[in-house]
Amino acid sequence: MEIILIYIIAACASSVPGNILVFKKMSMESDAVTHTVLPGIAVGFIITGDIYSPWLYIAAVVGSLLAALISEKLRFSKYVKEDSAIGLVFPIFFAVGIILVKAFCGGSELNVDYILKGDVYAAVAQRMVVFGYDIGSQAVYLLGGILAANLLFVVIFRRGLISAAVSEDFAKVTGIKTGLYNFATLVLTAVTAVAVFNFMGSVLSVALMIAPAVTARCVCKNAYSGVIAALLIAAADAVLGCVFAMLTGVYISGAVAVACTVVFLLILALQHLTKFVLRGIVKGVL
Amino acid sequence: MVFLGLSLIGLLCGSLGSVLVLKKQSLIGDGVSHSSLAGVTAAFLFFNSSQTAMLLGAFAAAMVAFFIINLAKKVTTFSFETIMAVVMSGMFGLGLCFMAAAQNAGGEHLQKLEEFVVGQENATLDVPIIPIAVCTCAVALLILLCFDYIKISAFDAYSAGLAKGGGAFADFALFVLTIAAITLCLQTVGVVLMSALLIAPAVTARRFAKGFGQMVVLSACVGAVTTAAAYGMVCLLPFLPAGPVIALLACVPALLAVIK
Repeated sequence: MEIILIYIIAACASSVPGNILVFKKMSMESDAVTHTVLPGIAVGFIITGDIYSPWLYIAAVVGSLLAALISEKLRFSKYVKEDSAIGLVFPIFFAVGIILVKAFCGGSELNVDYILKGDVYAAVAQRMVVFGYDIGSQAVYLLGGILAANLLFVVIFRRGLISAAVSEDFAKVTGIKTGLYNFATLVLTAVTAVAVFNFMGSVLSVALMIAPAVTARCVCKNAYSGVIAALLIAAADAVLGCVFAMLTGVYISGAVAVACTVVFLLILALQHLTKFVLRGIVKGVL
Repeated sequence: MVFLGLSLIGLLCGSLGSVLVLKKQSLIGDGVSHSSLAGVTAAFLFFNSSQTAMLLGAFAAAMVAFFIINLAKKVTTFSFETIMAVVMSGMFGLGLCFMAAAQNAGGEHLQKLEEFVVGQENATLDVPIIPIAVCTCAVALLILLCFDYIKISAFDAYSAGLAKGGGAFADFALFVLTIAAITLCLQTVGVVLMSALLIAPAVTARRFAKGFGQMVVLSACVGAVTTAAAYGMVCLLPFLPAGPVIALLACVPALLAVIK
């Protein structure tokens, strides 16, 4: 049961920055962020030797900010377009990360399998103990904190975020510091990605970040309702994936990622089908 | 033999990548390679880890993914990349499900699966050299035959379609060849790092080339040279994993070229 709870909280936490990214048409950025946290994690792990150390988070976030900074710089040089800037920077970081892991972490907890799949059972085993009472796994509190921080950020800065997303120039003219917003968004995305990455593996962080937000955009016309719908859809995706995985015994994070995509496609198909049927009925009546 | 195979991979990815980068479709490489993992692992699980089956599976999965993406693109207003991000993460997740199942079942060639994801461990690479050579020839032939069309469509797809009839065939052939090339090179550099091999030589070439033809040739050469250099490096320092080193060395000249 606790595993389902962790997945639900993780899904909700990721869907919030996902909304901002989808709104700004930067969905591939989430792919980049989840890949560029790896060298930071590897360096942090090599230094501290503890996969749950807070230093890992700091190193990973710094690493992915560095990557974002470089790709931003590249984008404004005249030889590289936006897509190639992302596509050039994230393989460098990921390659460095893999080389570090393969060369220095041989035989330890941090191996390629862990990077891909995470280890949710080990994460559940890390308990939060207060005055001798076991009050749940650390992952729940960590992801819950991230979820709260993400929600707070979006609620407090909603106006600035929306105007910066719709038109960067408009936002600048009206005195909104778009650079600051972009930076904060990146930091939140990176922190969320690292947490999800560490517990559930790298695939899931992309799937959870983008898919619920995109699905919500299919259903909602409004940015505010979109955030709420994305939270609900994310939770539903997580429950569906977990239940399916537990019934069939497949790998849970993979099943949740598949659930995210399948729900998106189903909702698209349903929408299309209803339009089609309605049009047919209208034509029949006429 | 390995040396030759790797240089061919560099040549193939370099020439294809230059077209993709100019068309601003360079992230397609990422989408194709992530989606194909589902096919690779499914083939591994059900067809007893034969390499041909895995490559065919990769090809089929990538085709299915792009069929879904194009279908979804038609009924929504989302950009291609947004839909691609959703579909490819789902396919990758499916791939990891199959991979976990294969690992639970046990077996001899599990190492092979890991290779497909993060690239090969050491330089005793088995590269499917003949298919790669065939694919390289096909790409060269296509670019030579449809040079004008591809050149115009790289900059303005709409007017290219108006100016030259029969462009749909060239587009489709290019697309199929892209998927084929990526699936063939997948095992060497791995799913995640594939896009480096496509983008980096093209970015380097774009900095120096004066025209489209020059850029394709230069990009192919840069690709071949960097992969060959990476092979040399892996031979000298055997503790380094081959796949990531290839990807990394491809990116270094690109970064230098852009910064300078």
